[in-house]
Amino acid sequence: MKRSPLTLRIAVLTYVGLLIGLPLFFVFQQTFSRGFGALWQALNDQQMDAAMILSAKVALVAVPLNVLFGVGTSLWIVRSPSRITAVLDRLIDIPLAISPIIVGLVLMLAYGQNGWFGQTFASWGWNIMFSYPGIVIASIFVSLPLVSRQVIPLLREVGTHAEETAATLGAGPWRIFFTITLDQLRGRPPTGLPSLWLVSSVNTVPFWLFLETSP
Amino acid sequence: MSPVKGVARGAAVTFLSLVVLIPFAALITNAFNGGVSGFWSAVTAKESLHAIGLTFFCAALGSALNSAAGLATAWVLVRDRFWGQGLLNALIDLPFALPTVVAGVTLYALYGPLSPIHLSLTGTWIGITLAIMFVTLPFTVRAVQPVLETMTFTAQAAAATLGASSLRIFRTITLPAIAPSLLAGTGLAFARAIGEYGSVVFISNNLPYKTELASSYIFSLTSSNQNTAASAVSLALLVVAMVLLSFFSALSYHFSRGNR
Repeated sequence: MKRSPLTLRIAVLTYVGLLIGLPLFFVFQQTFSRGFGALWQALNDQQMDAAMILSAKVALVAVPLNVLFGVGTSLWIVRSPSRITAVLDRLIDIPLAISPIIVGLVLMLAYGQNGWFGQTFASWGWNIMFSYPGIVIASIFVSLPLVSRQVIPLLREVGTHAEETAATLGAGPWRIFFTITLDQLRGRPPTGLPSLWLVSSVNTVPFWLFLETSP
Repeated sequence: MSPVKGVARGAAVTFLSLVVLIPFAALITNAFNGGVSGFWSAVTAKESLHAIGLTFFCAALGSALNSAAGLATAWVLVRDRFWGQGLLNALIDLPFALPTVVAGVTLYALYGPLSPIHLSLTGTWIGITLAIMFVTLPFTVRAVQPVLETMTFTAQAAAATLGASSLRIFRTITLPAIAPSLLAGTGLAFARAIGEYGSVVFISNNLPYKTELASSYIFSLTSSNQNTAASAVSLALLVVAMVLLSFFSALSYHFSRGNR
């Protein structure tokens, strides 16, 4: 098989260059056009600091929860196939296909002030929406398919040998989950912490728009 | 029988009820607050139909173009070696890593009224499609790339020996083999395009009956406290997205069975 023709290479480079390279170049050019002083000033802005700290705080909670729920749901689909998990396997892509606006609306209808559980939570002194917990929930919701889509093939690949061995040696399910199952996934590039971190913090952004501006 | 089954089921059920089932039950109940007729009139309102139609048109166009471009990009990344290939590979993931609102602001600055290259696409379907193409490029590339990497190309070499043209080899051998992953990637890209908000909201200008997309329409409904109508339109959009996703996954399954 010969290599791809030169025209194809040029066409691809032009396409990606214009579609993604040009906007990227523009971002950098705009960022540094007024020098490092202006950039430093923008980074030191109080509101900016607060937003960055919130983003880090969300990721701090969302990432471990994502690992637990994402790997847990994937495990269920892979290790005990049934009619329920077949439906679940289909449903898991839905958050990717849902507009962040709809996610915001849906969460507001359930946990917002006028939502199903809003009054109950408010009487307990909890405020879910327009606050930190709401952002965490939204963040977990959108990152789940990204986690499971990468974890499911890996789980199929590693099989159950190590888990069964641990069970034979008398380890409990939680211990097996944390020391064997998670350990087998560790270090695989797509499930590495940095990529989960990135996914969690990037995806929360659209929700802020919703959470902060809606009544 | 897997020893961690109980843990898995517990985690999955807790998560699904809290984050998926309860909120969506609330959405469905709210959508039918005004009965079936209320639901129907909210979905078929002129502004709603226009927004949904434009959303599907731009999403279909953007993901179809990217399906071809993504295949070509994956091909070049796998089958070619040239200087700057690493950079190209890294650029592909950028839309995944960039918050969509940042993408939206950037595209608006680049193709908006103050465009430094004097190309204003604000408030046009071309601008919307461009934003969708920006956001969905990684889906097809990353879906096709691993399949191309594991392909041995012995069948292609045999066909070439027998005198088949490159185009015929591609159409009859390569394309059927990558069809399932290409379809899966395109399906995800399409689904993502339907729900896209952050990257298109600025460049679309949100003019009702002109360039207002479904997400923006739902958002404007919630902003004016019309939660029932917003839920109805959301539910309609969701159902269509689910039907399309199932269609793509069934098609992908069909092709992958044909390969065996």
